Amino acid sequence: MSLRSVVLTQFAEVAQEQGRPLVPLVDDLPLADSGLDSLCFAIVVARLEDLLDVDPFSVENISFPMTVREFVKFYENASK
Amino acid sequence: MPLTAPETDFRIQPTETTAHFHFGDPGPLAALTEAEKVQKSHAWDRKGGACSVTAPWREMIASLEQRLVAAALRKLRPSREAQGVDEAQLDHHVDRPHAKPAKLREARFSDFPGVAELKQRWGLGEDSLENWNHLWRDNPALCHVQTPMGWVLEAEGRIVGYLGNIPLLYRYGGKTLIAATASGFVAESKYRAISFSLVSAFYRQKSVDLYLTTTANESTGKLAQAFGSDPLPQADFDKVLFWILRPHPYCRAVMKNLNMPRVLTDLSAFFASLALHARRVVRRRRPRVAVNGLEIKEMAISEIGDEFHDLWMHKVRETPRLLADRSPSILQWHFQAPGDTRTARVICCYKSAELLGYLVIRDDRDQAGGLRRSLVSDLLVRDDDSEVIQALCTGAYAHAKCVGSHVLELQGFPEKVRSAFSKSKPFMRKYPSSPFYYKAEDRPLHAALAGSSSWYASPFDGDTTFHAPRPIAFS
Repeated sequence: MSLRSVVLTQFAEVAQEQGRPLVPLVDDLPLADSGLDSLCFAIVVARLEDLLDVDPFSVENISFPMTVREFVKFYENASK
Repeated sequence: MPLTAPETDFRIQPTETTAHFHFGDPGPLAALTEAEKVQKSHAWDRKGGACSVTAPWREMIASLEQRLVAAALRKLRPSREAQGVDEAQLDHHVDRPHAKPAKLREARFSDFPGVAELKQRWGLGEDSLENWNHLWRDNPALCHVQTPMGWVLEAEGRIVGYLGNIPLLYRYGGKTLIAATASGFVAESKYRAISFSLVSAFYRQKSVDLYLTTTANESTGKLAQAFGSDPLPQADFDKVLFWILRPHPYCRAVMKNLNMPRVLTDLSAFFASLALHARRVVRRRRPRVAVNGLEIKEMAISEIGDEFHDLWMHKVRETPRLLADRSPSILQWHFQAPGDTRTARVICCYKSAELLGYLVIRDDRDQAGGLRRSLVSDLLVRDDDSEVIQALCTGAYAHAKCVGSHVLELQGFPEKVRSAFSKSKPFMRKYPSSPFYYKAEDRPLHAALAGSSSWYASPFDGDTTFHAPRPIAFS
């Protein structure tokens, strides 16, 4: 399973668990418009840390992702 | 964290100590048949020379009270609705559709203008540099630990998210603990997807034994739980006991806030206050003095002296409970924020010149809408003596009446304190969710704090009563 699939699967699972309506996750979709709230993203990031053993959000002074594409890329860079 | 002031559920509930005829409580009438109700409604009941109100009237009064109090409490909600400002309108501050990438970093004093502007724009009210100095330069806890003053999300050279971090000292089991309380959580809507990174930074910080969130709303409470915090186990922290002190101005303030026409405001306030006054007389909703050799004295915060140290040391040696440090210097620091428009006074209880307990009462005055509130902000009594607590309750009531407050409130405190206050039959309202969450870094400590008896949680904890240099803004 590609990293992108892992990430998007977590988006879908967390949205379902939290009862949030998830819009189609196209690359340019701003994260803020995805349907997930900050709690959902906190859960997604925690789960991705369990799965990938990385938490790129724990690093200060780096640019955080704002779109789905940037979010996936963020994890790809962190996993290298 | 306050994550902003908690949203209040304004359903009025009967207090624990009143058996019947409370708001929302059908009382004895519920058990009667319709015929019995009619019969009872025509009966006049005289007791002690006072004519009490018959059942249907009681119901009418209760109903009127319920509406009035609920409406008033909406106005007491500290700047909560202000956060509900039109997000679409506010989003014009952000370049739609593409928000620029944001970076997380520790906050610094030079961030003040950006943070203050962000907080004000999102309804958290004004802040001041003096207040920042108070919290992050003059804070006595800084003698024990150096923690970040918070974190910001920065995009395009401006602040788009913020979470304050206030270090505090606690005592538990003979040890001093370093606590941190999160405060003033705010993020622009476009950046809320990554706003959890601020909370994440709060829980990642080093040298902290205890993480506190004391003014959470429902969503920030969930976020705290996602990072391993648990709701406060102490019973009834989410239930506020309150006494209406001045029915007429109270009702006028309520009607005014309901934007009723002037004539209707005056008329409605008149009848509503009559109902409340009757209710107060019938139910005797006020503390009464029952003092055996106890002396009550009021003083300024600046007069807190060595005798408070002795009482504090005694409390520390009582049953092991988590206590926010109440040494005299910390009490003075806590309640003397620069530029604060609210006043705090200390009501002390002595016996044979020995300080047995004190209560700090804070008066919020001249709030928009005209409502005035007194809040029991702290209370500490040697051995939790019920007589002393009741004497302080009486003192607080008298103080609140004297300064012209419309309502007196008590939130938190353990059961023994609440039951002593409840003897004077307060009204009660309930938050929709717990505003108080905790997480101890040490797992055994976290487990030990899971018991209700380990806590003495009150508005003194966390950032609940940190004075903002502004009156509470009503929505």
